[in-house]
Amino acid sequence: MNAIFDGRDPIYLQIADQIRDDILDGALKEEDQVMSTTQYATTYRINPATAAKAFSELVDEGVLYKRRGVGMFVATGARAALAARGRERFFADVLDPAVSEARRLGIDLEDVIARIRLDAAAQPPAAAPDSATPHSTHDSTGGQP
Amino acid sequence: MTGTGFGVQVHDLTVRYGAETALDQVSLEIAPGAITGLLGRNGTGKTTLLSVIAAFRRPTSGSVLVDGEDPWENPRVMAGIGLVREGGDWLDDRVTSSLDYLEGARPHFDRDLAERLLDTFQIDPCAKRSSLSRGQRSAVSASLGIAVRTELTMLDEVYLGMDAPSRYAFYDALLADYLEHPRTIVLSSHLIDEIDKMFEDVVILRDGTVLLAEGADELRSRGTTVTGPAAAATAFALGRDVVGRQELGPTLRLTVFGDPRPGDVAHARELGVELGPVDLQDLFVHLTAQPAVAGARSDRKTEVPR
Amino acid sequence: MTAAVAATARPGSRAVRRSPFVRTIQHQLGMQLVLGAWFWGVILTGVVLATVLVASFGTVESSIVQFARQGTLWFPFSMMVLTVASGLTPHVAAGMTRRSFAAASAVVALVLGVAYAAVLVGLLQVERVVYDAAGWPQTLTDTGLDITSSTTDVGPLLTSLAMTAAAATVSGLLVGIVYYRAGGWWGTLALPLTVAPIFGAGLLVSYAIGPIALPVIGEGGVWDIGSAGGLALRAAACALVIAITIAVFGRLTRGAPLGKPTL
Repeated sequence: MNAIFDGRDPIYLQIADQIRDDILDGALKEEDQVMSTTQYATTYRINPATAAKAFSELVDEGVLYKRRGVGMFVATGARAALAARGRERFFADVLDPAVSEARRLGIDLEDVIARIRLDAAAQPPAAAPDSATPHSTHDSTGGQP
Repeated sequence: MTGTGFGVQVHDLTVRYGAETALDQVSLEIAPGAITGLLGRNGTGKTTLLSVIAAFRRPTSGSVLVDGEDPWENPRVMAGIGLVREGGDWLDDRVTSSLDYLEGARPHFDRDLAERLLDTFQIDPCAKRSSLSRGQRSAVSASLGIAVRTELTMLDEVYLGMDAPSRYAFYDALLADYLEHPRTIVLSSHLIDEIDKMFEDVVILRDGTVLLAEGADELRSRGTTVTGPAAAATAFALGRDVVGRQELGPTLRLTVFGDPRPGDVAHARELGVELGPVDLQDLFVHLTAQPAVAGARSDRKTEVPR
Repeated sequence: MTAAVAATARPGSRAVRRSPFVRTIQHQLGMQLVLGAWFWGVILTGVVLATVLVASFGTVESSIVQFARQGTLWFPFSMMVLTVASGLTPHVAAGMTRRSFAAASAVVALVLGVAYAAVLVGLLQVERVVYDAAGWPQTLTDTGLDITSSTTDVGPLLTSLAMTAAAATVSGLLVGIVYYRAGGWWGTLALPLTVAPIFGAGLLVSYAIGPIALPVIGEGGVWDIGSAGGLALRAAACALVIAITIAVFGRLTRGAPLGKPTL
């Protein structure tokens, strides 16, 4: 974990994001115990209630669950759920902004597509455990692969 | 340590020193068991507020309730309130005398902890108060302030004179002990960016009145920087509370204060402006620099047209 | 960890069973014991030296201990002023009430006054024994001690001295709290009022306080200084003065806002 909680987003959001990232990366596996609010507080010099807020959000999402008297644990299926949600949002939150940026910089979208094909050829696609077809709502102007 | 700390209810508190009004009809609540940050420019009444809560002085009018009772000359409540002031109110003798003194006076005083903290700050317990530097006295005050484990612990700019490593050692020690023995803590400080992440709640005083009192995260979420071409930034800020303005060539950065609205991100992208966060320190500077009352909570909200 | 500490469940719980009132008395008396030892050590040394010198180079014609009388009054007086000036803030800052401070300080002041008077009277008796053995006259030239013609009348002597000393110490408390609350200017201006109890006591039970020699209040009757009944009445009046002083001190202390911390 390489967190420096800066003023970007509310800290509890940053903590939640970091935990989600760790789960996706595999740093936190299912049924692993997450650092306690006390540990978060002393490690990053923050209020324990802030960490508690992050946990609360993740529990609501079904990513974490609480074992009374023990602590917070990663829920089974959390990684899959996060990956699925990430895939849903990829096109709207990652790809579309990238396309806008390319346009702003005057990059020909055909060049972007060519680059994507290069990357696809160079690296075998990462094996996603439960890959479902993303249901994308992007308005693409480029060609379909 | 029993309970989770004393709560404080201040109602219409006014304190006058002769002709000067230090606090003017201040009403606020301090949640039991939480760490509350008390912020305000110099001379805005922070110290007076803490003094009245600690029963160091009486209100001119209005009331203060600590753990449900008036603290003035109230043995039970006073024994559970600790106010650490700059310079410290301990005995003008060897530090060990103060340790002995507090051992008798404070029911939850942990002498071992006090000695460990003094060691952390490299203070010789046998040193006389008069031989200690300002920073060392602050360190002693801070150590005692934590070790008394009072149900309501208030620390008034106790870090003055302490160097950065000592300050961080103090924050860590305070937080660690708070986690182990929960209590109500009020921290008054100018070095906001050093401790603002420790706050659960924030109270900002201005000119002897409460500018705002709310959760720290809530407050942070209400500040946004809007950066972009002057016209676009101004357009985005229309109808919002602008508390700061910075011109960087053709680019304008406005600091806007108010609840985030659902379409904000999209709207910003449309206009071609970038939204960014405002940390508590910046927010504090902007809010307390405003001539008019800006950003007061919902029902009293005024929007300053710019 | 000592057995005593290990036996208690919580840190500090053993000490807290004593009330703030009792603890403050113990704390103040402890300090006064040290200061008193130093004071009387100095006095004793001075008296012995002076006696030896006078005896060696001249003739001893009067009591030397008697000259410690002023110190016996003014030293504990100033100690009480300091007690209030430096003790009230840490007391309240440590979570104890002003009421307990005022009550404890009053008790300590009375005890101190009586104790200092008793020590002085004791020293006079010792001096009497020494003088009798050496054949010197133990005349009391300091008119303030003329309450009896000789130091063998310990009762009236002790009563007079104890009352005056007690008036001095409680007056010290009053001076202290006025300075504490009102600052240097007003504190000094108020001195005639705040030091008045000592002079009141002096008028009532002895001839003089300090370098001022006061006229004898009436010859014969209830004001006759020599009569035991007269003394009892005047001691009672003096006790009233002391009680009023304590009451005023208490009132002023219980309402006192805390001063700024010393930086």
